[in-house]
Amino acid sequence: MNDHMPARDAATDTRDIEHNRGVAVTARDLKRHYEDGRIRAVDGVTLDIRPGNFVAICGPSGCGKSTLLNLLAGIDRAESGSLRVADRELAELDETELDEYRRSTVGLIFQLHNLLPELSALENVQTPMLMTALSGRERVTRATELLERVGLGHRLHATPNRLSGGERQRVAIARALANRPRLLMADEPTGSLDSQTGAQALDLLEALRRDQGVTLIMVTHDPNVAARADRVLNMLDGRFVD
Amino acid sequence: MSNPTDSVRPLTLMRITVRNLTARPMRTLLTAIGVSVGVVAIVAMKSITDGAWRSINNTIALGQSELLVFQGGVAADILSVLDEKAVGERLERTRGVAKAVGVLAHPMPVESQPFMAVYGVRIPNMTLLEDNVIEGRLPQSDDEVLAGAVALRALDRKIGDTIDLQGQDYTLVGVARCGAVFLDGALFASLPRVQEIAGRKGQVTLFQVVTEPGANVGELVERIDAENKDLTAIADASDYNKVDPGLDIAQGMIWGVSIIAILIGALIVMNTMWMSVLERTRQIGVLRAVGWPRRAVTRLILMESLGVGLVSCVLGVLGGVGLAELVSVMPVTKQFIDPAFKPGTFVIALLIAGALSVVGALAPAWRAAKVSPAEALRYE
Ligand SMILES: Nc1ncnc2c1ncn2[C@@H]1O[C@H](COP(=O)(O)OP(=O)(O)OP(=O)(O)O)[C@@H](O)[C@H]1O
Ligand SMILES: [Mg+2]
Repeated sequence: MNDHMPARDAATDTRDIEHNRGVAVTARDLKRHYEDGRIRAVDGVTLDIRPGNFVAICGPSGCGKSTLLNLLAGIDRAESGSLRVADRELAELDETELDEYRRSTVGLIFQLHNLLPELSALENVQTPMLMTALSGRERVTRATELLERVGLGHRLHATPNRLSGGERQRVAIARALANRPRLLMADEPTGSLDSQTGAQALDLLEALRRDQGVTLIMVTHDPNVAARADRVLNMLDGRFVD
Repeated sequence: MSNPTDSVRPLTLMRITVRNLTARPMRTLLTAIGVSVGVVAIVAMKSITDGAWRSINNTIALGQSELLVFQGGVAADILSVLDEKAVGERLERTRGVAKAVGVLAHPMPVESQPFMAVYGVRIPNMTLLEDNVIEGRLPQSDDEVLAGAVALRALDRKIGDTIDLQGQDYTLVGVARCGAVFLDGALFASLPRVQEIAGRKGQVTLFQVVTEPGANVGELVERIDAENKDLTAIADASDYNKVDPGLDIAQGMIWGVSIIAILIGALIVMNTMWMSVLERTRQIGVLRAVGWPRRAVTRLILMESLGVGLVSCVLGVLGGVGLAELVSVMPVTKQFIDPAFKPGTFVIALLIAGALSVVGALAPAWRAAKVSPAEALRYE
């Protein structure tokens, strides 16, 4: 319908429902050590995730789950090994390309909502869109749609301190979806919520995965969450175990 | 229902900046006030100096006059001593000079005023002030005086009243406004009387020179200076440093204060912005994690700093104008200070505020750009 418009990347495409957008994730002997190798947070992870899969990563505290997720999300770099997402080797991306990868391929949900306290829900959801080609009006429209989708259409202008924990996490989910990510990652997204709101947030993420076919990787301690995943990967001391 | 998002303003870097500044109003205000002190000083000093500049030019151009002649090589204009008759005749013989009016400046206490300039001008020469009389008339005898408009208010007199100069009564017959604070704050009396009061018989401080029609003022200045080793002619305030270093000193002080204002202002801004970056490390990490490049974070810090700078510029201009106005109405200073507020002064204030904002933001912006998202997200 907009054939006179300039070409846009996937992140700025405003069509909503689209299947099989998920990316494949492949890791080979991925390592991330700290303190001169004394702490082997991620120590030889090998992994194959098919597009559109829901993978849960479980394991005791300190086993390296968040570190691994950071590597997959492109906010940290591995020391060695190979990590390919959507057929791109992350180690080969320069800083600008990695910024772009985080911005348009990945949607990240943290354990804490990590919203900007000065900004309203609607504005928080727009933060990742600021660095794209979307116009101001498109940003507002899209952020509104996303908040409606997470059930917060009536709380667009509330700042985080006026929202409940579950509502904040839903704003964070909407923010993660801002640029239409193909790889959605969540680090204990329900960790700070009670079981009921946690379950709601989870339902939402699952529904999004189902509707859009995105790949979903979730770190969780919760066996009920893990039970809903296509695959569960158990981590111990920086590696996967059976 | 129409689309409710139509009326919503989209998020922009500018909007985030405004939100961040207004979310901590006290910090923003206190920082801006701290920074504005330097701007206040510059605006006030520059306006006062510009006012003095304007006053000098209006003095030079008094009546038909186009230049002033002082004794050469004096350290201050008021120290100039010239022989009325000899120098006056010499000047009037110079080609291009139509008339040279000797004026004796004598600062002295006048009634309630501890310090007031009294100018001695020969009664026939009072016509120099003809166009400047706003009320009454010019003095026509040795017992009459003319008052500048500011002096009139300072002395709280009206036309027809008597004014006591060193034990002798003079009748106030007119009021003049010359657009020169030294003149408007002064009294004009008969030259022989002022010479007598000052104990300076036959002497004047300066000559107001009326040129012949068509004379080239620039050439005349050069000719007077060349032909008279003991004299200095001035046709513009920019040459006033030949007889008085005051303006040059003020100019130098403005430069000095500007540099200090930039340094101190930059340090204040740096302190605030540095704290702000540290406080928001986690948020900056989140922005980087959602794909903001380093330069976007840098720009955000720079814009916040410029925001503080802008507020301090506004406060500084208001404060500076207020301060200059204040000294121009205070009892003694009002006879010497009449600030001129030029657009250029406000441009300078803006440039200084901008410069210190940028300088102050450099280190914090660098620190913000260095935030590693992985590290920032770990930190509670
Ligand atoms: N920046 C760092 N410097 C030093 N050690 C680190 C750093 N980041 C992580 N570690 C260490 O790496 C190991 C793995 O940490 P990580 O945060 O990935 O664990 P986790 O599995 O997410 O734990 P939790 O379930 O508690 O969140 C831990 O031993 C941690 O102390
Ligand atoms: Mg963790």
